Amino acid sequence: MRFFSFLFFFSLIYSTRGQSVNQINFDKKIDFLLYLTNNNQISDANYFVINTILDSNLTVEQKDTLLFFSGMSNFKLKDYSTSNSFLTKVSDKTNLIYKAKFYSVASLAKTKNYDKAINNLNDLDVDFSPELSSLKNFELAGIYILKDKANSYELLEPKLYSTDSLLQKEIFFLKENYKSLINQNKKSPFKAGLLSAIVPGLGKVYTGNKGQALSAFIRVAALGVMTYDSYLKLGINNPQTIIFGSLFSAFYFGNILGSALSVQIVKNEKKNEINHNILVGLQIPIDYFFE
Amino acid sequence: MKLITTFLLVCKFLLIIFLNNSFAQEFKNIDSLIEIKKYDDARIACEYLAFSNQENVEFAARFLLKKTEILKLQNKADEIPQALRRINLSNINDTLKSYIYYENFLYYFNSNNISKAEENILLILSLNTEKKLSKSSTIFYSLLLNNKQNWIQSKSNMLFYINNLELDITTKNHLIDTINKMYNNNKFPKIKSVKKARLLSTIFPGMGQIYNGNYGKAFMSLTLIGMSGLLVYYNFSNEAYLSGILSGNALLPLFYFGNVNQMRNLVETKNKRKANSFNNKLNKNLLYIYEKTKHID
Repeated sequence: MRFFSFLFFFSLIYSTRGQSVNQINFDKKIDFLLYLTNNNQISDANYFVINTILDSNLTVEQKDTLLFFSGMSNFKLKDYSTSNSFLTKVSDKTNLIYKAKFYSVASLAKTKNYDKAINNLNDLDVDFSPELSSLKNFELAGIYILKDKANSYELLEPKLYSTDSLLQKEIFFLKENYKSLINQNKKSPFKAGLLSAIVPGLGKVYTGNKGQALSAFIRVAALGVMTYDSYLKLGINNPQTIIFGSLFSAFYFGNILGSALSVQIVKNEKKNEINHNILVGLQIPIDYFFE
Repeated sequence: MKLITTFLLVCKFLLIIFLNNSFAQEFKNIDSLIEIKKYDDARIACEYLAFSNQENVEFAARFLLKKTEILKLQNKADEIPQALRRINLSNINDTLKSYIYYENFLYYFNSNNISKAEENILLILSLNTEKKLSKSSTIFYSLLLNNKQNWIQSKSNMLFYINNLELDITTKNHLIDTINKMYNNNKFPKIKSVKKARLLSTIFPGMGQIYNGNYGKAFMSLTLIGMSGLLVYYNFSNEAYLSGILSGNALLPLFYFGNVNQMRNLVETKNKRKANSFNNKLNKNLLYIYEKTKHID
């Protein structure tokens, strides 16, 4: 009897020792995945999940749990393309599907796949819940601005409202951002150049670079004074007058050209800043809704 | 009854052997995965074994060490410190510890983090367990000291290394002689100080450049400053005071401070070049000595 019990014990140890990663049960798989993500071994965790999903023994719900978990952990680590590839595979049968879809849209927006994000949002059917549909409209509006689709945004703007105070606040910020983007786009290079021609540096003030404006004014004015002084004391044919004069005219016209070109540069800078603000704003209500 | 108890004892003994060997089997499985280039699978297997043996810190450490080996094969050296940092160093034996420090050292040495590499090598030397490891790390310590331009300590480290070898007296003396020749005091490159060079350039433009041996640069900064001085003089003598003051204000400080500020870059690059060419020769000789004495206990 003892012998048999010992044999049983022996075989038990043998069976647990020989187990490989693919043969363990689902709960232990989840434990292992948690262990990997807690230890920041995210590439191993991703590989493990991709391999486990190929295993046909798992049910759809189990697969969805794994996919959703790795999608979210990749999203938190800011690997948005990997996160999206996991989240899009989550099936519609679970109750996590809306969370997965919205986070997938957020990760698509962060990787600048705006067309895909817009398509995904339009396919999403959330008419049953007023909260979710207002969230959907908010996301759509934000991505329209990011994609430079002003017409689509203006069509959608009257629909933007929410009973929720946080979402309403974010909608307000989005509208403000859109307004400042429009104001920035109104500035013309011709006006900046003209202002710079009248007083050097004034064009830079118009575009918004006040520090550069002062230094440009001092440079051009000093060269002007030097040229005038040399002209009075040394005459027009003196080489110093000619050098100072040509330097002055080069700086003067260069400043006009620089002001005109800087309008576009400042526009791009401002646009990048606003786009960043919008992207951050798009994620806040999603985090809040699915907490 | 006696028969059964003896039989059980034998079985228990066999079981203990089997248990110890079962990890050898696991290592073999991982090696076979590496052989067919399934590196990702091998990594997962290491991680899983480390996960399921979390209570046994030593085995977990061994599997994580195995993982660093695979990471090296995959050219993913950046992930090595992350794997090694997870090992709980408090409950494992010194031999394993020194291997972990060695892996850490190799990573930091390859990524040019000299201070961290030195930290790890000093830890290995203080443990002094594996003879092979401590021998190679003594040589590496000398290389690091050369890199820090601390040649005197490097020399004493090398002499310590040779004195610890079990050699006959003639070869030992020969090796000590070669080391004394290599680390001859007169051959050390003369490292120049940035502070002194800057001070000289501040006192008189171009003097710091001459001190560092950049004669062309010295001539250039002197002529530039002289020319702008002449321009100011010319304007003043023609009563064009405004343009004299403005042009002098713009040009003179530009060239003068440029002449002082360029010294840091010039001196540092020259010092580095000198030290590097000296160290290259030295390191070649050190590695040659190591190759020759590697097999001696």
